[in-house]
Amino acid sequence: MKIGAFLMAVCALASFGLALTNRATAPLISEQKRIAREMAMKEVLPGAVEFEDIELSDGRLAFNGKNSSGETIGMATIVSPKGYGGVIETMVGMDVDFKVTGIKILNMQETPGLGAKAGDPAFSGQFKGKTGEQLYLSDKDVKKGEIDAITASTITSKAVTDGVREAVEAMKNAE
Amino acid sequence: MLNELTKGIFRENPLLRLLLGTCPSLAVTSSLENGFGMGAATTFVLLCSNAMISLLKGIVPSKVRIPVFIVIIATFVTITDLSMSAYVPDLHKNLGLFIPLIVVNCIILGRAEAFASKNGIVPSLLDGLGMGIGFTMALSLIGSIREILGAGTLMGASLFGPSYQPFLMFVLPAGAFLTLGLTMGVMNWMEKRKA
Amino acid sequence: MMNDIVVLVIGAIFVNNFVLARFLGICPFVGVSKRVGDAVGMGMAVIFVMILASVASWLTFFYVLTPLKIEYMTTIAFILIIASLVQFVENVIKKMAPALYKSLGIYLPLITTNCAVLGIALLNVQNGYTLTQTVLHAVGASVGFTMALVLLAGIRERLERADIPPSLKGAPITFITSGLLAIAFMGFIGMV
Repeated sequence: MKIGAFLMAVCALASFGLALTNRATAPLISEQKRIAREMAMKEVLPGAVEFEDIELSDGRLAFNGKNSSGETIGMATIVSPKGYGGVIETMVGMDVDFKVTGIKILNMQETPGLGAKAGDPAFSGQFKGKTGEQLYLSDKDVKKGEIDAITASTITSKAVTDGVREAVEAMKNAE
Repeated sequence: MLNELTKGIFRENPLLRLLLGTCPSLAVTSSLENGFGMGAATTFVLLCSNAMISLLKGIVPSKVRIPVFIVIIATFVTITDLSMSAYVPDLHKNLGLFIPLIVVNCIILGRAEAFASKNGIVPSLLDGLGMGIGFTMALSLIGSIREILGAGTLMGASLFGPSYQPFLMFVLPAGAFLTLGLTMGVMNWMEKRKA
Repeated sequence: MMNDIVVLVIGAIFVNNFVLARFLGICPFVGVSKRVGDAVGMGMAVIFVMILASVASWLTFFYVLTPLKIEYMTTIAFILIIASLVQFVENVIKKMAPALYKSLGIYLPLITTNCAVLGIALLNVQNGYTLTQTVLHAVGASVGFTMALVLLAGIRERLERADIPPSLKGAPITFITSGLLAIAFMGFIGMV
């Protein structure tokens, strides 16, 4: 059983080494995430300088955006609809009239040249100014909305559109 | 001694001659920066694992050597993964899944088994360094070709001006295969001419 | 619901084909594709290992690593699970199909270093799949891998008789051919 003991010893040492590394890097990693998230929030809620964490009625985390005078100008939250190659983590901003102020795709693994175009302003810019009922695909959805899908990337387009709509509904109900 | 270092660069280049490490060389070479970054990360792991395994030479019971090597390599890969996530998050995001996949990069296990477990620490370090440099150079070469042809940029800087229509295919999977195949073909041809 | 299943499986086989689109499993792809027979045998072994490995690693992630908050041990845990599974499969094949064992030779233990297996285990937990989705994903991915492997083997058997420039013989022409296969598979993109 010397062999088993040796293997266990190696694993124990490895775990110890990794636990140390994890303790050293974890704070840096969560700080990076926080910075990236804040940058995304500022992008989807232009004019907001301060953010306040709030919890929506469905348990989701959202962020109230306040401008420099302290007034709430909108809300943002993150949705993760299932796209083609995985989840598409998207930050969605909404103003006090329940209109979308902007979206930003934080993470996605869609096909380059096709679904990946969801990040381009040509697609993601379409969501600005839209309200709930308009957030459906214009020709691939039964409820005709106003979002044009990316050519040959219906799944990605639908996923993002559904996600944005879901975000707006959730944030609306929080008010 | 010097031979241990240089053999990995041309004659026994792990990617182009030994055909090791092919998965990342296709997946993360859509740009020079990604190719180089992956090469650097792999070299780091290779150096650490070669060193550690060489230090443990003679202590590891032969029957469990492969699992032990794997655990050691996986540990260094995880350290690299966490460090990159903390210090170079953009590169970490670009390389994505392929950072943890360094653990199954045949180069590392291959060198551990074939060299580091049988040689002293200095030759092992040199071997790792040489192989790592060779791998990084190959990745950077393919990354450059694919970025120049497929996006018209190099390290993000536009080379041909905004009106250039790039061969999009080169940054897509098909282009990766073609670039690798043609590069290998050229290397073979160069070898034959020397002989 | 049914639609999601179809998209997941068909997507994994054709559009996000593990070899031709995701670049996972290239080593065996190039190494075992000389004969169609070997390719089929290897493919079967990979399908079996991938499904088992996906389930085992998913369970480990959600019931061991996450509750203990040691997600950083994921890489080590997964690769050890895979190595053990491959050892197990090797023993089974040795007893039940010795001829296959002989022809697969070194390639069987090499499934451990097949980035497709570790890749899918990681992708399953990264994408937050349920256990059912994990299994479907594994089925689709491994079937897609086998398909690409057998296709390439079929082409390579024909290429043996073709007149190829000496510099391109072997690995180069294999990669170029794979590139053409990848282009063909790109045609599936608009499918879903």
